[in-house]
Amino acid sequence: MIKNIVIVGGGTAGWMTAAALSRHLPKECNVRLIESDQIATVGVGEATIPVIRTFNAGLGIDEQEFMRETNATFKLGIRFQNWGEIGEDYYHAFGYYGFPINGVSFHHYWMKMQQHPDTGPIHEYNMPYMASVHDKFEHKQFDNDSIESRYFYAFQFDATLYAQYLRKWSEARGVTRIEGKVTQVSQNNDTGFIESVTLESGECIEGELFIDCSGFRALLIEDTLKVGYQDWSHWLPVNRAWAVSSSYENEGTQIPPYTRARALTAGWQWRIPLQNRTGDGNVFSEQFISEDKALDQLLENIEGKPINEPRLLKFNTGKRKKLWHKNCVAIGLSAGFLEPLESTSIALIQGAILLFIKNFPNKDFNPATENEFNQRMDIKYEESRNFLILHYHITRRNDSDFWNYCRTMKIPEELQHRINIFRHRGHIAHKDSDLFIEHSWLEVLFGQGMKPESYDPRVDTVEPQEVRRLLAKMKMDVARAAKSMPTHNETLARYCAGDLISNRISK
Amino acid sequence: MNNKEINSIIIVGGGVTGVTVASAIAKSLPQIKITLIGTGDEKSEVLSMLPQVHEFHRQLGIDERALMRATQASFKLATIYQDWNNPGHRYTQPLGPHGAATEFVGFHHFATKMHQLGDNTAYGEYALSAFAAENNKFMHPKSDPNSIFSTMAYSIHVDAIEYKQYLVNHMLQDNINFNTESIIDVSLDENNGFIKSVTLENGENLKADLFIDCSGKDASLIQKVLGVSLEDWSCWLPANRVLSVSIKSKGEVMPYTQISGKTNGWLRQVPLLNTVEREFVFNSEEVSISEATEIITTGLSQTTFSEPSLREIHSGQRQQHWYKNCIAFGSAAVGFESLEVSNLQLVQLAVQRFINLFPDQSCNQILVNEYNRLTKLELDNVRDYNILHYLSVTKKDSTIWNQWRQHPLPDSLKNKTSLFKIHGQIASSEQEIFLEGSRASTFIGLNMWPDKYDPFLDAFDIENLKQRFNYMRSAIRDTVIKMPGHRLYLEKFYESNS
Repeated sequence: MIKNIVIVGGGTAGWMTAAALSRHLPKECNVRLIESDQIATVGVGEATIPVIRTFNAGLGIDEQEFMRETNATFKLGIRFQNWGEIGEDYYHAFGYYGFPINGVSFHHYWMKMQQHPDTGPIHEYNMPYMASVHDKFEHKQFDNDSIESRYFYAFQFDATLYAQYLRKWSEARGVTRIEGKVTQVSQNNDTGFIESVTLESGECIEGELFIDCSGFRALLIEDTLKVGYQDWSHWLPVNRAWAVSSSYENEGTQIPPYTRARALTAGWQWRIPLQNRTGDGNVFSEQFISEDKALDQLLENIEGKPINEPRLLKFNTGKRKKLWHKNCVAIGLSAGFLEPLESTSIALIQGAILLFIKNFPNKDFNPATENEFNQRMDIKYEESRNFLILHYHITRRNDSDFWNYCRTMKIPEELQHRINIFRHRGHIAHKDSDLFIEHSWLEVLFGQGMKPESYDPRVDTVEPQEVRRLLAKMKMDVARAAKSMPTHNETLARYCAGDLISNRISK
Repeated sequence: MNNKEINSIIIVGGGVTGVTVASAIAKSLPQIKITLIGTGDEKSEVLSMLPQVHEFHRQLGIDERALMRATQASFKLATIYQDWNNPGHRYTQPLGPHGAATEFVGFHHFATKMHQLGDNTAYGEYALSAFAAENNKFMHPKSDPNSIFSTMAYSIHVDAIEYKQYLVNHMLQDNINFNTESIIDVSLDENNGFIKSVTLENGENLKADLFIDCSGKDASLIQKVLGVSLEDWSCWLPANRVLSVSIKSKGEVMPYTQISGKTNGWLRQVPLLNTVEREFVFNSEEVSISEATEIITTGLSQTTFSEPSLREIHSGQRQQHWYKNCIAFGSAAVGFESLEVSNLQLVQLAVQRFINLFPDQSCNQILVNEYNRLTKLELDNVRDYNILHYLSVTKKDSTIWNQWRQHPLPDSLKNKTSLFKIHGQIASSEQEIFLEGSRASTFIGLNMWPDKYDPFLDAFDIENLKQRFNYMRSAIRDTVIKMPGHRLYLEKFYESNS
């Protein structure tokens, strides 16, 4: 068995990988991580999706401790402003619209009844949506299938602190951290396998398996192994981001249990609330707006005061042609970049780690194993990419060249098929997938104002009166449950806030 | 809201396929007028189902106990293969899982390691469903995850004609017309090539919005009228005939289907409460009817079995299962030999999929494509699974066992087998009918052990592992000893009224 594993690069990807390997590999395995204090980590993805909880649970991490140490807040979804059209507002909340009736998804009934004055907007049947609107959060009180329990949550946290937290965790379980910068990579003359990396200090580190977590630099997978990059920027043209942190405006400000994504003229702006500050960033395409103007936009749109110098990140959306090649696997930004609109970056890191562990190689590195991993990762990246493209493409905005481009561009065939099938009958095409459930697609499609031409004909087999009764009850249950929840601030203060935060929140 | 919804359906073929499809649609969309044309001229067959049947019955609101009692059905826990790879080879493929899984590592990796350490215990001894089957025992599973009975899974054996009759009596009372005339002509819409109407022998002309082809291997609409051909699988799966007899039986009822390899074909026995269906599956160029008759009647006395009946298999699937306003189910859509999956099982899965994508009168191509995409993925997996069963067979002297050697295997199957061979990985593929553990158990049953197990297992202490395996085996044994015999359990189950 492979006993000597070298991770190049720390950051979120590096330390998540180190933690998972030290948790699941036999003790004889030697996991070493090389990172340099001189290289800053990117840490764009501070918001997550609910699968992160599976990862933390797999490590046996205590949620309260982890949240306290990373200034984390709860996240019930993402609020999208100005996406369908300027002035529109919707949430992609981690839950469901109502209950299926007779095996048919709720939204088909809603589509039939939407003209009726009592029906109301579809989001009123979505528990985490209504909780988000009112800045509420509480853990599920019952683990059952009641409407009060039909939601999931994720976190917003400081990615740098999360990496530190996992570093402590991993070092306690035998991972060795090596301080230094990699200056040279040696390959076997015959096989091209990586044999060792040399540090600035001259120290040579040998390994049987190398994991490239070097971020955008892609030191091993690209600089050394030259696997090539698949560019997706024609579908996702944003290629720059200005990022800044800002303070909360007032003492006692309600911290929203969601990430905000506000569409601007040539991209969008994130706002990720932590316990002690917010992270803000303008993601834009420099083909459509200058860097200077984008910075002005960012600063105009923040609510508190900036507490650090804005940083500019440059990227090209896409992914490596192969994430695993020879004895090297790329995880994190070295593998590819997708903008943080749906908080997929940490989820993709986690997906890669777990899939890699499941397909952990033997010393002979059989190509079939590598292919299986690469194929599965391609599916995850492509699914996430398609979901992102959806947000840009189904807009009705025509106020800038950027939106005109996105609205009229040709999109991947599989995505077009999904949109068509929804437009025709309100169905979401079936896919065995683990990142976004059917409901996530529905929320964006409905949220951005897309209306199917017809609904599932099984809906007509239920008496309209009965449908009205069921809808009224679901709406009432959601409203009552959301109302009875404590505020997000109250839950944070009780559950996981550091002293400083507790004081501020309680004022 | 814009297009017109479907108001009427004609189903061609009144056999068990047509009646199953009609029942499912009538349950979900009772406002639609359904006409079933043609009598069920199906040959006698006993269906050996998978646990997915329970969900189908639940959706149709069928009381499975009442159904089983009315049809004198039996329970199924496994399929037992006898003399398969070679004479003397035997393995049990249970419907429930083996052993206990850990977070990342499937149980079959542990078994592989134990096998490499010299453990020759049959893999089936680590599965409650398998061991109970081998001992003719049965009990219903329990949902309590702390009970060993939560590791059981079962399905049913049921006579196809009885099953059909039960559905006719309980599902098809009001909104269905039965018409036993035969069709002499079909007319198409000149503009879009949709089927418009069928003309019957008595001159009657019947129109409908949607036509469903359940006419069996003749595919009288989808192929004969619309010209959609079959993607042929016979280069790998050459079996094309099944000869069957029904044998009276008063003894123990096997809670499993038994499949036995013979020189030039295989024998399948499916038990019901008081009969056993015995079938011989073969290729007609290799075996004559009289030879086949001799094989299925060996050892039986004249008075105990029925007249043998013959049916054909056309191995392959329709290039398009749904084309224009016509959709094919059953043998009109796909033909293959029933190793683990019966054709009706696929009909049940397919009709639910179809109802979930139910069209309006325009039969929008988007829905058609989605249905065809998912159905083809599912059937490719079934095809691969069947071919897999032949790869380990060492009998060299007969086409049925060796045909696959003449042609390159499908890439999907090559990928599945090589991944398992390397270190026991199960290839991920969409629309699989079987869980990963079942697929692993088939490889192991066929003696296609992986070269290596998952490297994570080296972290486990060997002595501790041996102890756990011993414990598992004895827990399963102790449990099975206390379980009631299958016949006894069945008789009580049918008597009780709870």
